[in-house]
Amino acid sequence: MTAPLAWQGYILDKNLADNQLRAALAGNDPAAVELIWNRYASDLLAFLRAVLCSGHDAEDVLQAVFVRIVRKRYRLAGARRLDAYVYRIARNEASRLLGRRKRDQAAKAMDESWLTVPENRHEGSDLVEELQAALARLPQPQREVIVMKIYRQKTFLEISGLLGLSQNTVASRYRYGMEKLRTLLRDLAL
Amino acid sequence: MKDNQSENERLANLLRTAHLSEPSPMLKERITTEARKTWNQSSLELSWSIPLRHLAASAAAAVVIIWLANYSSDRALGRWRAASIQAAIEQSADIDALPELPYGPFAKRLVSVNRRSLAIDGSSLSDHVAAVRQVLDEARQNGAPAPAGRSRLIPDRAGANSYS
Repeated sequence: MTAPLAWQGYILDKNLADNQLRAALAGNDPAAVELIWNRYASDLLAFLRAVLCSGHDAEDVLQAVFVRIVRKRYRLAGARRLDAYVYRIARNEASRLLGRRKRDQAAKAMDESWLTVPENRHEGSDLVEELQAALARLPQPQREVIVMKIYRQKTFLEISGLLGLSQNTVASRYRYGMEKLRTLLRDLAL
Repeated sequence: MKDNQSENERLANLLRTAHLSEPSPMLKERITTEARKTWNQSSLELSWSIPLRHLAASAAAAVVIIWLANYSSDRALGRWRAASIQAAIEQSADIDALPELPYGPFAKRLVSVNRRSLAIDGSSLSDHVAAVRQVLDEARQNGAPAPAGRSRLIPDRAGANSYS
């Protein structure tokens, strides 16, 4: 019984944060920048790392996303789903960078580390590299879902709302992605 | 099915041995500073550009509405204009021939359209009426039966001054 209550509390907190943010955006209050950061920065950075497979590029794109959000603040304030709109902006900015990468033929980003080892575990850096390499070999849509589900603890319902997909699509992307990862990581401790 | 789920669970646990780091305070500082700078710049731009955009949009909408009104009015009236009367309408009403008007080109155009529809040549009109009368007389002389609901204004066969 406590789980649904905790879930409801989480949803209420999220809605409250979104309403505060909406009011600040509509009122042209620069404090909205801080609110956007607190509400979205961690999730967006994880999402962008999953899309781009690069820590540095994800940070650069996150900055571009914030600038874009600020420029479109009036439209954002009137959006039906604030979070979906923010993710749409992030996806567009990431796609722009991916397009540039394709044009420049710069595949260097794939080598870059974007997953990290917890500080209390020193033995796991090889494992992390293998995980990262396996994740990088997944198709981008499957990687996005897996990263959001596993590293940001999002539910399929939340992911479907954020990405504008049906829950079934999200669940199947997760399932196919996990199957592929199992194949890729067969030699590891599975 | 259950095997798949338990394998997925194990794989998820394995993936969780790594983690995604939170954004650093330096990154926060960099991004929020840049965003605030953009906010201030765009606030200045917005303060004058929004009313200007509204004005431009209103003007464009007004021009389109007036053009559509003129167009639909021309189309609607065109159906009711008899060809001979149309010929009697004065065609000149040249815009450039209206130097006395203290208006811009658009207002001149409106005025000229109005004038064009009002300015009917008197002699052409009387010719038209005479032609109609002649047709009616010919029809009467040929013995065509009068229509049941004929006009009371058409002179009776008995005399031009008596009306049925």
